[in-house]
Amino acid sequence: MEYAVVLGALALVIAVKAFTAMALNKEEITQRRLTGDDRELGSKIAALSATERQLLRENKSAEEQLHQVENEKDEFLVAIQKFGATPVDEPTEEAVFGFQKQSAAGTPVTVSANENRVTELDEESEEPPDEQNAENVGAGDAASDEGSLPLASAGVTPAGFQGEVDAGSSGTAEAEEDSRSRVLIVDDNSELRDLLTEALGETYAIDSAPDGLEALHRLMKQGCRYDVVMTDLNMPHIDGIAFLDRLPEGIPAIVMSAYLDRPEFAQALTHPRATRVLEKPFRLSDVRAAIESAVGPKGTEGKGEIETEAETPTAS
Amino acid sequence: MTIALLGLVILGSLLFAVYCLVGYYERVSTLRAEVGTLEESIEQKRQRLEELERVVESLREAQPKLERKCHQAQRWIEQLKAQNERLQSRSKPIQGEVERHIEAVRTGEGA
Repeated sequence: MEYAVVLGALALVIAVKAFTAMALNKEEITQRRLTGDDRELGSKIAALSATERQLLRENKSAEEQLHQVENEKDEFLVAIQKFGATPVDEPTEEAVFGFQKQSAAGTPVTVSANENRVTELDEESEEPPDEQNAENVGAGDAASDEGSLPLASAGVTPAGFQGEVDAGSSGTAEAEEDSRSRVLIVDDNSELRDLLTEALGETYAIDSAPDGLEALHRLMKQGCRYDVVMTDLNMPHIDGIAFLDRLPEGIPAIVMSAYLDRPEFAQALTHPRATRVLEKPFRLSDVRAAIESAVGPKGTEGKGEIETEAETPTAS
Repeated sequence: MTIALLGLVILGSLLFAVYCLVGYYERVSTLRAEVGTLEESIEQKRQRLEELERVVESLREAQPKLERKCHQAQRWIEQLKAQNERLQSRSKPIQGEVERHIEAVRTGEGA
């Protein structure tokens, strides 16, 4: 009897010890497995992070290269627009790279890229038909009898802008957001630009450019969505008269100048694109009145009714 | 005396069993807490891994696109350059005409 009790007690002790040891072992195995998984995931993350960093560096370098290329492209676009010509269209991906089709047999067939587009353009540009001549050089002889500048008489006119005017006037979401009239001020005098921007900014959406070239660039970028342009005459790169020659149809122009004795002023007075000529210094109320009269029926009114405002100096 | 010894053996066995069980639950509770932490960490790392895989995939896709775009822009630049050169060569006589015109205006001959 005594031995039985002792054996029973020992059996209980052994059973409890065995149970706890087994259960603990199971838990430890789970913990070790999870620790291993955790480490494995950590090393995968480290490897992917390194790949990500490398790809980011490569992408950044590619983006920088693209940025440089875009800048170079913009320079050429501006240079071409200086001639009043329409730049050639961006080549399509198919034209640059070609594309692959599956033949009937399932093998890829490469369709050749249009590698010779520039050469072809050069070859056909001896006397290209007007409708195919992107530059429009020599296309506008009609203007030559009008006594306008030789550049215009030679047909170096912004025919490409006309389409942009149409596209711009169709109205975009951006234009709907700001219902104010958009005014582009072109003057190399930054103080005057700032003054006019500050004075007219509450009434109109003002944009400004330091010279005619930059103004043309902005017109192109903005899709010609300006309701009126105010331009000085004496500016670097492209002066006021040359700018007026290249100004897209449908945008009225107000000319500002301080030099009554210069021939450009006389030219501005008779220029068909100038709806109004203001002599510097001028009153802001005169500027407002000129803009209001120009903005009304958008450039059709006021042509041939050129006025000068010479009496009252306020802004210069 | 014998009964007293037996009682001691039984009591000792019970106490040892209780000690073993208490130690077991303490250790198990620690282990389970660690397992919970590990599972949470693994879940976070899996999410991070998926996110990284998506980012890396998109970066890998973006790279050739950027290169193609760059190549396309370069091809366009070549065309624009050619156009610009043509325009410049054509504008030389026009520029001369402009200069003559400006000179004529200055000297009063063009009036």
